[in-house]
Amino acid sequence: MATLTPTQPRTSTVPRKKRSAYPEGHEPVHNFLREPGPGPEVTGFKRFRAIAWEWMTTVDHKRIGLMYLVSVSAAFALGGILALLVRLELMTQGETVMGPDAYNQVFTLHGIVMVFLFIVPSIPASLGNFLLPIMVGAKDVAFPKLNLASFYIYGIGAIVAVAGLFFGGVDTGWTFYTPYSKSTVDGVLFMGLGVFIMGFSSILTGLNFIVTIHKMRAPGMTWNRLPLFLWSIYATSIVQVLATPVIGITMLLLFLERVLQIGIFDPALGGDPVLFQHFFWFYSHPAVYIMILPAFGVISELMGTFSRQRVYGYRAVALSSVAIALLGFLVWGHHMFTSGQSPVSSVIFSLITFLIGIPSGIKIFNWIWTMYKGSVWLQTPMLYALTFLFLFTIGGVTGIMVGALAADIHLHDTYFVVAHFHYVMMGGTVMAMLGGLHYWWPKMTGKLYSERWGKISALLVFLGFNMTFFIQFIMGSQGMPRRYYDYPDMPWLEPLHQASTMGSWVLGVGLMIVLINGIHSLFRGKPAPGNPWGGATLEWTATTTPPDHHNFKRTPLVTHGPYDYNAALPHLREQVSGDGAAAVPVPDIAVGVPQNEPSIEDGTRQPDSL
Amino acid sequence: MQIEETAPTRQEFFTGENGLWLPPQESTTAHQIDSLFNFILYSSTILTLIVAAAMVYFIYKYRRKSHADRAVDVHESKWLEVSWIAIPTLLVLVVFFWGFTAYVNTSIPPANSYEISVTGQKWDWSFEYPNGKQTVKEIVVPVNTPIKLEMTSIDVLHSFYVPEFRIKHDVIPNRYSYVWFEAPEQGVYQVLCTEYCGTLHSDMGALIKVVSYDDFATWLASGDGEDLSLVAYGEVLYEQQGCNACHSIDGSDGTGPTWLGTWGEQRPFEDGTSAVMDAEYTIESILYPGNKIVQGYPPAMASYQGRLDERQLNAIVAYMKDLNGAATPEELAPPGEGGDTGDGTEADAPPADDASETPAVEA
Amino acid sequence: MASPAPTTADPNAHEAHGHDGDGHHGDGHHGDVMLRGHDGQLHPANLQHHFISAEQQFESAKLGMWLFLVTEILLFGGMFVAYAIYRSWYPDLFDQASLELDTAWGAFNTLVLLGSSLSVAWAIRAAQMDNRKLLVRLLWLTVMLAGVFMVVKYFEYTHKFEKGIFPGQYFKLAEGTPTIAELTAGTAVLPGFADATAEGAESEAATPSLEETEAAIAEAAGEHGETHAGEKGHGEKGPIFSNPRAGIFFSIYYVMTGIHGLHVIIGIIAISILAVKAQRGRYSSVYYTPVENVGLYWHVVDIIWIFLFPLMYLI
Repeated sequence: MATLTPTQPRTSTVPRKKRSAYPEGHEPVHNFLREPGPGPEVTGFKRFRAIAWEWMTTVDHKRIGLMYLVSVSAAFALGGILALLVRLELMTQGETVMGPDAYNQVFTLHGIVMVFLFIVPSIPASLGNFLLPIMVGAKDVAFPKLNLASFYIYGIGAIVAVAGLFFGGVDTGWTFYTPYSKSTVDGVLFMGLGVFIMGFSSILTGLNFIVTIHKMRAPGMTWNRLPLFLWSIYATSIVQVLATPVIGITMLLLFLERVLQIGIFDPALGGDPVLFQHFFWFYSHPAVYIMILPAFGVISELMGTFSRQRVYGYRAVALSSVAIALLGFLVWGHHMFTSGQSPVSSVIFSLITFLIGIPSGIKIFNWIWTMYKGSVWLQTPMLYALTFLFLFTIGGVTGIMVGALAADIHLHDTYFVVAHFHYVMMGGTVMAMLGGLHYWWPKMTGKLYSERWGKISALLVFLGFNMTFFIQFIMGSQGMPRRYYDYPDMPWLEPLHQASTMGSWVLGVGLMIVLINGIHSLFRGKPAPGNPWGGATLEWTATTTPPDHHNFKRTPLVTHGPYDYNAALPHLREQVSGDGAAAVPVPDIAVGVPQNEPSIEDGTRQPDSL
Repeated sequence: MQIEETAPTRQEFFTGENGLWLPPQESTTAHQIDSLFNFILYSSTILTLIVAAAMVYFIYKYRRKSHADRAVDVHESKWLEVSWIAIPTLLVLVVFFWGFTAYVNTSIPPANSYEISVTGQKWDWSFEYPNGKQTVKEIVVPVNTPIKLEMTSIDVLHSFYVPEFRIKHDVIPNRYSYVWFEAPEQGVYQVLCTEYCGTLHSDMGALIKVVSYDDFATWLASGDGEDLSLVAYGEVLYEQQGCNACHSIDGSDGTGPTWLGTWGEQRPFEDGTSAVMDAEYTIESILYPGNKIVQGYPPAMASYQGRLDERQLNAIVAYMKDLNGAATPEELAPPGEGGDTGDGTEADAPPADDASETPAVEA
Repeated sequence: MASPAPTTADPNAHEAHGHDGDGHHGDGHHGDVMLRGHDGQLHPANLQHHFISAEQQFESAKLGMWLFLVTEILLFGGMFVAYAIYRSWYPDLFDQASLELDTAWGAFNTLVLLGSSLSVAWAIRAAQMDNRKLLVRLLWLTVMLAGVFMVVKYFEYTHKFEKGIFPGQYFKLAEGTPTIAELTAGTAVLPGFADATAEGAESEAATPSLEETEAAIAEAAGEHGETHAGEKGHGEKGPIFSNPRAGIFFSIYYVMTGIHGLHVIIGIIAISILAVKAQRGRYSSVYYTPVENVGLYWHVVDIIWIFLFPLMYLI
């Protein structure tokens, strides 16, 4: 095996563990998780404090990515518990565990936490932050301090939003529709302000990513060699930068509406509640693409690597992301077919909604065709990717259903819509996030999780998810409205509600296993090799595991495309599979930068392609 | 006259006439929406199955047999890409035009529709007929007649939804919106609110009772209680005005306090004050429910200001007194025999002739 | 605005070290590495470790600033949309209400802001020409002009508060003004417009639709506005105080000018910091990115006012 040892230990600050499973010469040298770190002389609480301070003030995109990962996971757990409570309450008719006001607050909080605290920042801020600079071959994002600031802004926004709970809570639904949100409890003020603040975080992250992709690509990293994950993050960032200010001003106006009675959205003062809906959805529909586009990117990476095949129709997939991002600004009105906007606008919005469905469909076909004549390896991340393909297809075709004007009259604001957007958001984004997390987990933590438990969790999540939400399609088309505390007028739906609730338990158990598997791997997991899955993008081929504090020893020179597995894994033919696969799924394939390449820093090449 | 009191339960909907997915079609326009729904349902089921089958086949056929496996180079095929762009595009355009035409066809009410005004209010629906008759939480409409509901809200957004009719529209303060339907069968259908409106959003229902034309005419002309004693009229109003949704008459607890055993009692309020429950207090509470909230109950009641006349208020008071054995003989006596405290309203009731006029033509 | 990337080494460059410096310097990896730009010059100072060249850093900062300004435009864009919608709904209300704003002071403020844009643009030029003294003076001049703008704004606001012109619900309406609900239902009319509304009501046997009522009121208000336009000079409360929706115009006015004012204050703070740093010699023709970026920001603040002034005061 051609051993490429780009870096020799300079200073060994990390005490080697005895049972290291790294192949000879592949021990990670500079591990961002531990360095720079306090010197060995600092011990005990002081050491803990020094490390904590170092993390809190870090401008390293990888550490910020991990901090985001912990935060959004906590938000996901909170939102998930609230979701379980919602399902539990609906399990029987009448009061099951809480009263109507409590229920209204719980489902509202579920929505706000899941949308603003979890899913909007989920993939871009955690995986995106960690991977984007590495994938473009940069040392960091363009504005590292802004990156850290956006993390803290997110944290402050989240705290302000959740503080609303202690000031009356909020029971408006995550959509904050006026005039209800004007008249109800005071928690709305805090939630609105929290969303406003978190918007800045979202804008700063997007801005940072756009500039990084534009200006910081390594030599040879042309736009045509940009991994599809980055294309989708790029498209996402455009949406973040263009749409988020509008939710900012909307929340600000809502805030002023309550505090100063300015009346812009209050019919009692001459204002228009439908205008609020237009403003709200002008952000919140593009926000749907903020949520799903990064998932598209993750799936592209997974389908490529686990099929060891060029992603079919690279350009179509890349450009369709940008097309979706731009078209996404023109369809917000499809949330308002029954709201009293003019029928002409409804028709136009419906038409553009269908047009935006086409690029999404193209992506699905391209991903499936990527497996054609490939070498499909069913590891946990791939299971999640396939789950994504199946669930997102259902989410997509039901989107056609609710996008069709006449059908939406019947289905609007029923469980059909609830099921539809859970298929897209949870079946789409969350599945992709889980897949991506499993895929990059070894890179991020340097540890391997249990493949067996990974597969079990993927299976449970798949079954639980469909059990919970597929039933809701039927309930919805039968007429069950959303945001109902009780269904006194539809008692015959009780068995379906019960099945859905039980499905949510299966889903909960599946997700618990994911969490336990991850935490277990941190302490007991086997050390991960540099490129366990045989990826061809820079984070696999040009960095150590976990990556160096500065990502690369020197700026890499990119000589092949992101899915050129033949070029990235030149010595693969010499390898034979063995039963040691469980410990180290693929014997270490490539670590580090190929030697003897011209580099900018030693002056042998110019940054002409920047 | 036989009018059902509740909507039928759809216990058997798994095997019901309209299958697993949709409720029965009970309006003349429902089939247009259903055929579109079914078209999308079947075509997307086929599409999903194709996707799933391709996935399973590829996973099996191209499974990795050795870690040294390499993919075979696949050249991008123009016809393949064009076909999977063109076919879905055609499909969605078909769906768009279908949805668009069905939307236009189903949303424009016929010119001869019978108009009823609807007011949404937290958390009930009230209805007013062209002749001034008012109801709460239920309307009675004639069969085979196009009905147009002119809707507005007096507080927050609501949405008027009848699954069996496939109609839905938001109800917005200071604006008028409408839905229309024509029911070909007699029966009772459930109205649901589908725009979140607060605590009792899920209880904000109403019933649409579709009856024969003659029954409707009789019903429209009756019910102003001019031939009833105040107490008997109060009993009618108790259900008609939706009091029964929150206030029990058997002492059990509801969203609001029960009417049994509370008359003449000292009632403690949320703000610490209290008052004796008498006629004055009762009428104030009906007209301005927010003024005095009985301890332990939510401020959930909507104001009945402008929805009840003086005689109706007196009738409700009389009914409450009667529940507690405090009704006076005048209140128990039918009109004509005893003194009718609400005589002045008699003139407002439409003349009997109105009933025979055709109500369906109201431009 | 776009200037060539810094190409000449400057003696001040060494002093300028650390404006955007970060904790990575001196951690033994790259802090001490001299990097070679494409011009062959060494650029050790002000270059953050993760950038390859000063040019890359400059362009990144500028692109980032432009993106930020796009978000600013969109922030105000939402409010301009609100303005457009309500103007199209209540054109006469907006006509009348704008008469309450003082065009002369508005025009004065417009000139002040235009002047400050000029001074900040000139300041960037001064930085490029390494004229530190001029740079500092121009920055302080910009701050001063911005301050004048805010003082005028303060007097405009307080004058309106004295007249009872507050946003939304707090707008002090004349006695006996009908409520919006009455206007919507067609059961009330604005004082002096009985004829027009009655006509509208007669032409429609049933209750008039919302649009018709609106149209009737608008028509009436138009006539009313003409007849009362002359009264304005006498300090009497004009017809605007009899329109229950008047608060809407002033809500939009206060929100838009208020948020714009907030941006001016942020600009004052940012430019003051620049001025202090410029005094200490932080900026030169080699490194003046912050001056350039704050200048861009200031132009956007200015441009937004250029739109606000005619929309609010003139039409």
